[in-house]
This record gives sequence, structure tokens and C-alpha cells, in this order.
Amino acid sequence: MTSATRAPEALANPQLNPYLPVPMRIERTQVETDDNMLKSFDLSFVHSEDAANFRFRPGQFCEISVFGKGEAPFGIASSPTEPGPLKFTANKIGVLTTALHSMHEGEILGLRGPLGNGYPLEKFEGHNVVIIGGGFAFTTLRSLTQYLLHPDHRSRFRDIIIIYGARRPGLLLYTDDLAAWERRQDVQVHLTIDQAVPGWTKLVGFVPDVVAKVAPTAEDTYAVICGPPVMIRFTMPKLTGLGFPRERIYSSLERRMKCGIAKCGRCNIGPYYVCKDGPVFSYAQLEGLPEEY
Amino acid sequence: MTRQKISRADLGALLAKLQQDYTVYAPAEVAGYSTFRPITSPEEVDWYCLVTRKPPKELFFPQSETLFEYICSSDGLALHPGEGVQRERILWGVRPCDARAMLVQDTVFNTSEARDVYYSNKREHTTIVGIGCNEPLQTCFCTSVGGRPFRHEGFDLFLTDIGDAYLVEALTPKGDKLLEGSELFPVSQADLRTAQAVEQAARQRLPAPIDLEHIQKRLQEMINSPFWDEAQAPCLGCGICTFLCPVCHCFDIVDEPVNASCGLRVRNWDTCQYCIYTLEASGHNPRPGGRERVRQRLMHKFDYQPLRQNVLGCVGCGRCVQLCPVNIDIRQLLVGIGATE
Repeated sequence: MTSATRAPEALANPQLNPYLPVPMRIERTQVETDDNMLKSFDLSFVHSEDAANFRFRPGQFCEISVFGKGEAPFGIASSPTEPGPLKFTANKIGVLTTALHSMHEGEILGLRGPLGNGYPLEKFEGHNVVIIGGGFAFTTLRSLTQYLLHPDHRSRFRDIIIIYGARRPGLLLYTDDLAAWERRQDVQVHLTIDQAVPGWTKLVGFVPDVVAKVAPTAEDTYAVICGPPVMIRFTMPKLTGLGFPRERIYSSLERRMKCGIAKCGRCNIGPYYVCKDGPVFSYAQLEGLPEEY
Repeated sequence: MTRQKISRADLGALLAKLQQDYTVYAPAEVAGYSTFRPITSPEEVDWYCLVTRKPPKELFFPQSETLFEYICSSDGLALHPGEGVQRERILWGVRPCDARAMLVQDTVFNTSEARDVYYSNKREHTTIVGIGCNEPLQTCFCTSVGGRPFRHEGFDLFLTDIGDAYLVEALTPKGDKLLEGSELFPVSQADLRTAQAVEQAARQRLPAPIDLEHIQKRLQEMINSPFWDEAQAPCLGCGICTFLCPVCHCFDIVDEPVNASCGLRVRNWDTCQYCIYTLEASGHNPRPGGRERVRQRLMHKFDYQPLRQNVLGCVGCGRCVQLCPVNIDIRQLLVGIGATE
């Protein structure tokens, strides 16, 4: 048998080869914070068939390629209910994100996804939802909030409470969206900063204390909490003190990732891969596992 | 297909004939040790090497592999993922432990929801010829973890060395194909008795099975045990135990730019034993110390993989025991884990 085989079609097909990114064009960039460290990127698909194949839910993420620097995972900050480009917000913190921050409208990035499980919207249905965010960990919480508040979905959920804190006012993300949510009657928004500054008329104090003060009812309520580990560590006892069982407290976890499809090995927490089984977990799922997050 | 017999000389001739149609990889010397490499003549094959330095996993999951070439322009993006396997391959002389490890890697790479096409392309175009282990090494412990020195799983063709000849057994149509046109002889009762004696002698050199369920239960209960501080104390974090493990599948993905607009995206073997493996850009490291990293290695093999993939992450090849620079012995760690309170 002379067995020269053809180059398999699968290798060159992004629908079959999970490592191939699709091209995205930067439509718009926006600096989100006054320290210039957080920047949002609105990305549109270069090919309409890629856009048609892309269906996501709040809480999912994508691997974004900055060619020459590599790939990194970013939560999708826009909601599936928002037409147009996908929004991602990146903290300028490493090699890849520094290069990303220097890119301009019209330039090309790569994208693989959507990846991960997303928030358990079916479970939230018919319940109250408390959304707790700290610092720049509000990206997929923005997606979730926009989804819950959309006219097609709002009636499926009961009370919605948002508690969002940052060190100072200039570090809050998505200020236009926050203002729009504050104007609505069907969502409670509690914004807080660490220390009082002139002109700030909203809450002052750390997120855990604000959670205790706002004291959302635990009855028929799911909590979603995203933020720095220290915020989560101190907020968890406040929530359990209010009567939230671990089964009804969800978080979206971050880990260093490469493949995004449960093969490269690095993002596991116990038997779970954050990229595939997460990034959204309930605290009941994480009980008894090494606290490697 | 039943067992047949082939003389040593005929087996060499078979191998030479197969080279006309296949690229044949077999254990052969490279820089002073044996490893799987393409051979040009049957004389190059090291028939007696039980544990090659590098495991045959690199034939499916290379130490370094280009995923694609990228070319960016203002109009878009062109990706060239390469050609895949161009010539059918034979992987000759694989030991049962290494074949079992390939079956574990299949459960990582060849999953239905996200098929790793680079891996599966190589796997599909490879015929695997196994050989039993007549004289297991001091570091071999396949029998401790559910393996056997003459286990047939994962092979297309299996060879048993009975001294003056080999028993040969085709296990799949791919294996049948290799034997087409070869001069084979029927196996006598005496041959079968010899094969049986060879297998029995091999098993006697190997350790008794360990209670893997007990190990798994203990691992789940001892996450915060001081055992891990002691276990990690001598570890240098060099990662050789995982690089050379036939089961370990971790990799890194990096870009190797040629210039501002084009370059290669490459994956390289990586290891959970490195500090940088889980280090995030913020400086946060979810596995900050040797304790967490050594624990991860053991828990992945003996708890997480059984839970997730229903397979054990260790096949008892003993490479990690042979090559650890500070003599950390996974067999002793397992004894220690089993004995913790």
C-alpha cells in the first residue's frame, strides 16, 4: 500500500479544528477607568458565516488571539440580547494585554469560542437574583445584567439587586450602563467605593459590608459574586449569614488557560476544568476541593 | 486471529518489507539512549529496550508542534494548519504500559465534543505493534496499577518473544494487513507452554496490585495533610516526571512571530510541576508552592482522571522513578498515601 494521505479537511476547518481562531475586526475601543488600565474592545466578525455560527450565553468566554503574543481568555461583556459587536474588557497587566491595549480600530484579532458553561439562567428563572461585583470583575456580570433586564427576559425573574464596588469612582466599569440601570424601577443598584471622596453621593464601604447592610433576602434568591479573591473571601460569610446556601451562591472563576477545551491541563480545580466545566461554579460544587483559585 | 509463529529472521524481513509502504518508528539509539524514531533498517531496532527514554506519546502529541502558520493583513487573517500525516505509519515495539497510556490520552484528545484533530489525524494513520515484556525492570510496576506485561489492549499486532522465534497475533484488521504475505508457522503446544512460562516469569518479577480505591479515597480526604509538605520537600520542580510520563498531556500554546504580521502558533509539552504553569499575569498563583504542585500530580493521576475519564493516570512504566534527579519514587508515595490516617 502506498499510503500518501490527503491533508485532512478537518485541520483547516475552524468548525472542526478547535484551535483555529476566526478573524475579528476592532470596531471601537473605549477606556473604561481613569487609570487607563481597563479598556473595552467591541469586535465584529470579519466573515458573516462566523457571526452566524456564534451563539453564546452570559458568563461564557472566548480565547482572543493577539497574533505574535498569543491567546488569553476574556469573558464576554456584551449580552446575547445586544445586537452588533461583541464586547470584551481587558486589564492591561501582561504581555498580551499590553499589546492589545495598543491596538486600534480596524485592526484584526483572532477569536475562539464561545467557551465554558455560562450562568445557570434556567435555575435563576422565577427567583430573585443578587449580583455582587468588585473592581474590574464586572465583565460577564454586565452581560448577565443586560440579559436579565432585557424586555424579553425581565418578567422571567423576580427582584434583581446589583451591588458593585470599586476602590474609587473612576474605577467603576460601564458607567453609562450603571446610570441607565439606576434610572430603572425594576432593578436595585447599590454602588460603593472604598473611601469617601468629594462629589460621591452613593455608598461608601467595602462590598462585604454593603452586602450585610443591603441584606438581600436569601429566600428564593440566587447570588452571583465576582471579584478579587479577598472580596469573595469576606463576602461569603456575609451571604451564608443571611441564609444563602452554598448551592445558591455562584461565581465565575478565573484561571490561567491555554486551550479552553479541557485538554492542556492547567486550569483544573479538583476534577473540574474551569474552561469547560466552568467558569461558573456554585460554591457547593467547590466544597471539599483544593482551593486552587 | 489466533497466534502464529514467525522466526527471528523472518520478522526482520517483514519489518524491512513494511518499510517500503510505511514510515516505521521503533526504539532505536539516539545520542546514547533508546527512543522511538523512524528507522531505515531493521538492524537499528533495539529489541530489548523496555522503557524508552521518551514515551511513544510524542508520535501523536509531539514535544513541540506547529498548530498553524498565521498571516495577518488589514483585510483579514490567513491560517495554514499544515498537511497532516502524509504516509501511513507503524509504531513498532510498543510496550503494554505505553499502549495503555495512549488509550488514556485518547480520552483527553479524542473526545467527541472537542476533537483534537492534530492528535486524531496521527492516531488514525498509525498501526501499533506491541511486544510483551519478558524481563520487567526493577522500576516497572504495571501490575500495581492494573496493567500486565503481556496486555494486548491498544495494539493492532502483538509479539511474544519465545527465544528462537516470536509468537505473532493480529488483533485488528490493521494488524492483519501487516502480516499479508509473510511466512508464518502454526504454533505448537511446546511454543504455547514456552509463552506461558515467559509470561509467568515476567509477572513474578513484578509487584502485587495496590488498593487503588483506597488510595483515591485517602487522596480526597488528605488535601490539607502535612503529608504533602514532606512529599514535596526533596522535589526540585524540574518536571521530568511529567514530561517523560506517557500519560501526562499538559501543553502550553505560544506564538513564535517571524515578523510583525506572520508567525507560528506552537504547542509545547508543559508541566504542572512548574511554578509558572498556573501563574497569572496579576501575580496571583493558585498553586503557589511545591506542596500544591506535587499534590496536583498525584491527585490528577489517582483521583481526577478516574473521576473524569474513568481511567487511571498512571500505567506503571517507571520512567518518573528512573529519571527523577532526587529519587522521588511514586511507588513509595502511594504506600505513604495509603498509610496516612
